[in-house]
Amino acid sequence: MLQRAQDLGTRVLQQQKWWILLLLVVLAVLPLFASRFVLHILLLFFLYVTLAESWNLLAGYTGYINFGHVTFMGIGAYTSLILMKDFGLSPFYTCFLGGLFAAITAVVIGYPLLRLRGPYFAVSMLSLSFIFTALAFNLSGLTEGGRGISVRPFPSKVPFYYFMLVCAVISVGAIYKISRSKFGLGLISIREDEEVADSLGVNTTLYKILAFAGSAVLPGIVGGIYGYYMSYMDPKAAFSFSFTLNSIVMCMLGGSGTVLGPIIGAVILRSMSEFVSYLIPGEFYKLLVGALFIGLILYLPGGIMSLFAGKEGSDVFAKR
Amino acid sequence: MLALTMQSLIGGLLMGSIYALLAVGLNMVFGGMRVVNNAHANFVVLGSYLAYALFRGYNLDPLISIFPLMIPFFLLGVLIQRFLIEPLKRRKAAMLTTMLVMAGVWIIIETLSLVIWTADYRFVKAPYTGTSFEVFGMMISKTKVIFSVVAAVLLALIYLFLTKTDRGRAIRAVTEDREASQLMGVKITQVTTLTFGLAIALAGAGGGLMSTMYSFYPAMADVWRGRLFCIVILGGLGSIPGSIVAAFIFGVVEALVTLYASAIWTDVVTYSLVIIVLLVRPGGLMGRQTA
Amino acid sequence: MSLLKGEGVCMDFGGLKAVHNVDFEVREGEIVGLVGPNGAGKTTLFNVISGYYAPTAGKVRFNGQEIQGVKPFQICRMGIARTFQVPRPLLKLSVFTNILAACLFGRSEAAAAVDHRAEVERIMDFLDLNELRDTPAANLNVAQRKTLEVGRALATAPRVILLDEVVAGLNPMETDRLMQKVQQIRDSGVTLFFVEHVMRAVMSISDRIYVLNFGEKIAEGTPQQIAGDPDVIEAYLGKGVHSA
Repeated sequence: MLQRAQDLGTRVLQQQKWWILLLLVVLAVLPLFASRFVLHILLLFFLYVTLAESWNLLAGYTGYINFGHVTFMGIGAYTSLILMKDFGLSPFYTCFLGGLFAAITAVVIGYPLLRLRGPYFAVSMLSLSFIFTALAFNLSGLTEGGRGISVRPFPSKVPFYYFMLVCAVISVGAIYKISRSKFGLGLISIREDEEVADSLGVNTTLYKILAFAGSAVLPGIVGGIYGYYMSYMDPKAAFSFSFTLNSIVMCMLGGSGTVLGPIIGAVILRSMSEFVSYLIPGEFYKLLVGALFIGLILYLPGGIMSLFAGKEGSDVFAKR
Repeated sequence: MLALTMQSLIGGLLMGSIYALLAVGLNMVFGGMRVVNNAHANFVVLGSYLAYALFRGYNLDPLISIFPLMIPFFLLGVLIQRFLIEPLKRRKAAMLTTMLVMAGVWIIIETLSLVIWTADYRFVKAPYTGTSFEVFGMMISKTKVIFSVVAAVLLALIYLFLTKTDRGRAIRAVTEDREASQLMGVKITQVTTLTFGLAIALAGAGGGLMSTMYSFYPAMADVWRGRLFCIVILGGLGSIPGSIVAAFIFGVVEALVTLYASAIWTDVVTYSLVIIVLLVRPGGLMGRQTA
Repeated sequence: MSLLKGEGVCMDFGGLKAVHNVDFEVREGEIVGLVGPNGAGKTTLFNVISGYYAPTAGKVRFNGQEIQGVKPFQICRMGIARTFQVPRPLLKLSVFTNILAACLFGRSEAAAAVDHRAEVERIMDFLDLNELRDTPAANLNVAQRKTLEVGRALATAPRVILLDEVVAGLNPMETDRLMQKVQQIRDSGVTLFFVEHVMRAVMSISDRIYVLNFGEKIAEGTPQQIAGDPDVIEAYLGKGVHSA
């Protein structure tokens, strides 16, 4: 079932190449005439797409659920803002260092912890995010503790927009490429039955760590950019569970283990929040969002992409 | 220093009893039913709010009101299980979908609380609030002692229920091994509905008791949410004794770290403890170690 | 030539001696059976050979080289493939992709440079799986799943396959059909070490048989020797019963 939905995603990306190119061009020139507000909305949207697609790599394709996904973003945010605070370096350059640190953290922590089963791995990652939050509070010489780091805001939204757009495109592109590669098949085998994958010759330890590190890089990069965009970062914001939750929700709403799923999920969730909050005054709109949300999940537990899944269908590897 | 340590230790144990009451409910659902009840902490806070409402309206001390309160919470749990969880389980949906559904419930509870009671901090000032016992030169919070006693009573009742009654034994069986229980003829739907209702009832009761200890606000659940999950995992999914042990460990470690180092390091120590324990015992302290 | 050899293999779980002091040898080109009552330790022995467990004591040799404790994926790439007693297909993937995964990952370096798709087609053809090419493995019946297990094992270009109850649960017709394929696999040069309960299968095709009971080897020999061995009969049928 997932493979048929998978197939739709790859089919869309292959056959609708021109429409996608057009969309990208439109998005690229948008800053010329769009309002700051629109840029803000889109930029956050791209942020969430990046986070959700990254989460998708480890969860949707490899089958390991990470409740501490935000940790990588927070590492990136603090890396960039500390370097700016102490050395005046622009996060536009140092964000890559954040990505590197996030990936290194993933490798170091992944090697022992990826041996844990489902819920244990998930919650151990949650614990990790709490540890980082606490460290950010405590190492105040480095991180300014609870006060948070404030930096001089950048006068324009445009470079942030482009950065986020590029990251989102890369995240989707990477998932696309991986999902039809040998690496991707290895990951999917691990997800389907890790012991069997082992017996078939997949180096599961290596692959899991690679997927984990892969899921950490872009959040690390994007964390630095986001931190600069907000021109402020404190421990609670940097390692907030809401980023993890959003990634999970968007990925599952759209359909985990698919290329387009996280994008669809992000579109649905972001538009639901923004539009419904316009329609309904005060806080009431959240009730509707919550109810709509529950309804969606109950109706489509496999996410939107499951609508496009047939009972039989060649998976993307079996194409003649 | 010894007196201070003892005081901390006792305070930690008392805190542990709070964690225990809350964690046991979550474990029954997360461990037994593989439902990621994201909203568990929200039911706790809702319990605080309802106890507060009854206190404000009818001058009912939470010590009394939590017992009748458990009934609507139980029913709420049953409804949620029937209409939100059961459909997902029947369709063999992934475990994470339960997390999403409960996240929806979380939003709804939090928003309702916000709308009804506003974002102001609320608190129940019972006659024993803020007072302490003086024992051997140590100051021990009366409220926490009362909570512990009630929590112990509740947990004892639960223990009796789980060990002495057929229904209770069925819950334990399903909590430990769902498949095997099914094979032995246990009516899973009935049991899971009962389990969920019981878990929510415990959450509500815990929250009601806590209304006299901490001031609360709609988003207060965020403080407890992750912590309770970590405690349950530390103890081991599906092991109720494990949750209780883990809860006490958390309480005591927090108290001792606060005393000997400083409060800001408690999180680093407790959550590192969770990870370290998992490295050595991948199934938690008392949970099943192999898949 | 000795391909697979076990020397004093022991596997303890806590207090339970699942496998105790078992010696065995499988020579190249042979079909060797491994039989014994339920719980005798047969699958555990396979798990030790294929790397899931490191034995508590003893050695396992492949081509003279010690392999106990080596990781499962490396054992597969060395040329030892295995099937599972209860078939474990990669459910959401098609039959084709299941075999493709084995082909891509399980081959030794020497055998890896091959046209993978062609190889998978060849194996599916040999096992009569062509019609099921695109079927998700979740939709297969037992016989088809068992065949898929064999197909995956073949795709890793093995020198020896550990077959764990490959015809269990199949009706006589399905059994004969699959056993025919198994014979053909041996004829193509692959050594087979297989666990089986279905006696007609074991007796008819094995060159030699080992018998385990309570984790220990109680007999070894040709099918005729085993059939008449009083220890074997006692293990299966209990004391005081002689061959019918």
